[in-house]
Amino acid sequence: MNSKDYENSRRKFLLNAAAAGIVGAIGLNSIFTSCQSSKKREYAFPPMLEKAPDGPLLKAGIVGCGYRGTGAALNFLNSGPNVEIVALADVFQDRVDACRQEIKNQKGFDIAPDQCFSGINSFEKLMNCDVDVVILATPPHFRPQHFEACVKAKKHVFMEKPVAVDPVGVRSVMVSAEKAKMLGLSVVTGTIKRHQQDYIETFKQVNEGAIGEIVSANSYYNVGKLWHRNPRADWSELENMIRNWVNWCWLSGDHIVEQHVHNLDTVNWFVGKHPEKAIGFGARQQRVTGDQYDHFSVDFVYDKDIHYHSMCRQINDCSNNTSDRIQGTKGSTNCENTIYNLDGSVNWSYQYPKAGTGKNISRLSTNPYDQEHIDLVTAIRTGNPINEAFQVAESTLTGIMGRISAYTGKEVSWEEMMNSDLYLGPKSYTIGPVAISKDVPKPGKSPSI
Amino acid sequence: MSNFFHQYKFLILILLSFLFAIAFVTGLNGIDQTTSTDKYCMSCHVHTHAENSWLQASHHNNKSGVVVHCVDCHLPPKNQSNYWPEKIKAGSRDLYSYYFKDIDEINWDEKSLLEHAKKHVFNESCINCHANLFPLHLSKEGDKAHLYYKHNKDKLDCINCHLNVGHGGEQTHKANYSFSKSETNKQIFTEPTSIQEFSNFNEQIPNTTVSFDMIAIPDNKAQNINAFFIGKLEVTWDEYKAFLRETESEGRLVNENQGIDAITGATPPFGDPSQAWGMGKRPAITMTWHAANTYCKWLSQKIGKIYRLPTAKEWEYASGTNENDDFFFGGNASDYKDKNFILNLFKKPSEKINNYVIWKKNSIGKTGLPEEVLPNKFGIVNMLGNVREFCQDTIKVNNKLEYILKGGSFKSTINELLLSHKDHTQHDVWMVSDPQIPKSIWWYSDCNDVGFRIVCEWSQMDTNSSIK
Repeated sequence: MNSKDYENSRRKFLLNAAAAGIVGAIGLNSIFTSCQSSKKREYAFPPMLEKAPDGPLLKAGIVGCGYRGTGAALNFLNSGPNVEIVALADVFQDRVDACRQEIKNQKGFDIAPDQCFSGINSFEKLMNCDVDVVILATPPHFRPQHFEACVKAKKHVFMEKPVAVDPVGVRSVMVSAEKAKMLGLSVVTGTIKRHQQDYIETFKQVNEGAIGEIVSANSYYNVGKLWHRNPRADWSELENMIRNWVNWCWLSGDHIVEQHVHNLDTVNWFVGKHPEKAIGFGARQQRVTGDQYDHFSVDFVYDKDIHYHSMCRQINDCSNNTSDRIQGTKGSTNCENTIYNLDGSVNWSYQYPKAGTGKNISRLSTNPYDQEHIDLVTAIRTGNPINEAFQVAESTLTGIMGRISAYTGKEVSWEEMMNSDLYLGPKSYTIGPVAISKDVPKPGKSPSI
Repeated sequence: MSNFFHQYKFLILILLSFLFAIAFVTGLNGIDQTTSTDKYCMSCHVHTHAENSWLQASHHNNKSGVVVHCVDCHLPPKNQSNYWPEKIKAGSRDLYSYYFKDIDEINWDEKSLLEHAKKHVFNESCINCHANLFPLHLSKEGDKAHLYYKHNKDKLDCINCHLNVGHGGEQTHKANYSFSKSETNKQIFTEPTSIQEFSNFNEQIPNTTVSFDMIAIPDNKAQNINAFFIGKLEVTWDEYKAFLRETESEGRLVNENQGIDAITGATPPFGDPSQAWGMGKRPAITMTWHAANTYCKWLSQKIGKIYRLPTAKEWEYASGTNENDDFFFGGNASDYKDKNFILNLFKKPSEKINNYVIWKKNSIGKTGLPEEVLPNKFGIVNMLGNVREFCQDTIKVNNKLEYILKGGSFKSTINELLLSHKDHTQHDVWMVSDPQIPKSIWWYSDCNDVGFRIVCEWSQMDTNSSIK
């Protein structure tokens, strides 16, 4: 290039630049910036502190004082300084009493008896208490109604998964989620893997292309049967059902929703969207109580024809397996802690802390059940609201879509789900008989969605 | 000196470019500001009517005291890339209208209809101010409708539901339970009309104040058509409301029907089904085929004659079209078509059609009253035009059952009025903006030019079927 050429090309460049300057100044900027599409999924990660920062006293109330509600109460108290449980509500007085006692035993907290409520409408009384945070841990059937009440009362929420049992409930949660977002409330949900450092780091790897484009996935939640409670003559049918809730579809959503939602949520998270349709089957081979199935096998299909096979079972003495696997064009992942090459060799794995102090399920330094509450309290105290209600609503609906496909034997689409008026359970709750069908669904014979 | 220029010409070029850009942008901003005031919009008189209706509307007169200006709705938000193109488009259109159009001739009622208004109101602009679609005080129905919108943004516009918020004092979604309430001070019929011979008759619906004319159509052996009666008019709102009053589910009091636990029936529509064009003798519109068919069943039961929807063959025969012409009033489609500018000078399109048909050219964007047009040779009114009419015949479209429609509507072009024009219902498309779950089976939310005409079977066809 001689000096003349150089000068000409420089002049052209400057002229173009000047022209571009004008164009930019009159507002075509937005075109250029909006064209910068990114392949990466937008995802906000919780800060994952070991303890929530200090701040003004946060008072929480528990709705649903069973095993998980009591557990969640203790997890909340572990989250950081200056947090209290001040009110309890449950349908059953004995559950309230037991929860109150457990909190007293473990943490030395004595909750005032006039802040402890029982009965079907006890949650309304709790909403009127001076609480900042409400923890929802009742059977999933009640979640939409309770979540709505919390948002109306402008409370921050921790709610257990799943968040509904039917499409009507899911849409109610979606609306409440929008309202919570607009009010700047924080909502953390019990989809715990999103609060586990190993899953998060693995997600980051996948998001940066470690396994290439996702082509398929599969999950297992194959475990033994859960608990059941035999009916008692001195309890009404409603009480018997609620006490035995993991066996009734209208209360739990069946186990593909109630338990398997963990896997469905993980895969939705990694794939970055919800499936468009589902075709599956399931049945009831060993379960004797309630009306639920005890196994499901469902093929979920995302757009671009990505198939996700999900399998879940609650039958004793079978091969158990609780895991996920996502296959990409360059490798695969177990979602939890490892990226594999196409030949099966390990490409990357999460380095767990050497001397983990975590309890229960994990080698992580913080118990992830506590971590959920640390993340909630941190969000509230740092003024960076998080709202997980949208994602858990979609994952819940994913499970419902799979369940309905298995119950009816038909292919079910997401659009059908979003337009379904299926509502499970009685319209009102009175202590006495429950006016619902208790027939076990039969594919090909069950009414449609 | 020249050496100086030579040496620094790039720098000077840059400086000049920037100066020019700044001057350009400043000038542009000035122009933009001036041409974006309400006063400027009103000044060219094209929109005179718009000012008053805006002053009364909720976007000017509201609790909060916020005033929403012309450009806030009728242009995209300023920071968006389509702001300038739309501004230039709107400005040129107004200038053109101002200089080349007779402003009194512009039909603003028609321009305010959804199809047209959509082109002048920008969703982004609605959302720009109404960022919170889920405020706490929103009703349950509002919550559901906005969630539906959120998941179907590509199919819906804000003004699908909120058409009248910008101009006029009307509130949207006003309760419409009263729209089927009965008028008083009219004779109530007790018996249906009894017919002994094959001739036109006036049918009376018992326990209502409503009657309607039926026209006798003789048989046609060659086309294998039996004699029948057909409605002189498309089923009117008066007639249809009589049906709704007796069958609608919501708003009915159970104590009127003691011993009944629940009532099932047609749900009331989500919006105003008459589009605020008036009811009375105007054709009832926006009902689904299912609703029209149910109307026939109800009427048959009530009256004791067999009323039903016509077949396409019956309909075509009753249109009274002879073989040599395209239309029953004579002439071919080309006689009524606008030609290009030069050809129009030689032969203007015939105006005759306007005496018989309410169609795109003369309808001002809504349905008409029966007295606006002349009948065909049988005495039937509005067979072509006004509203498209349901027939019994079905057709499979993309594996879904749809129903044949006959006759054009107030929106139809000349070709769509021809008997040979093939038309059918589009159930899903006509239901897009209905936010109810499940969607209504009684009302189309997105089709305002369908109605129907009824046929009554002549039971003594073998004995006597020539017109008396």
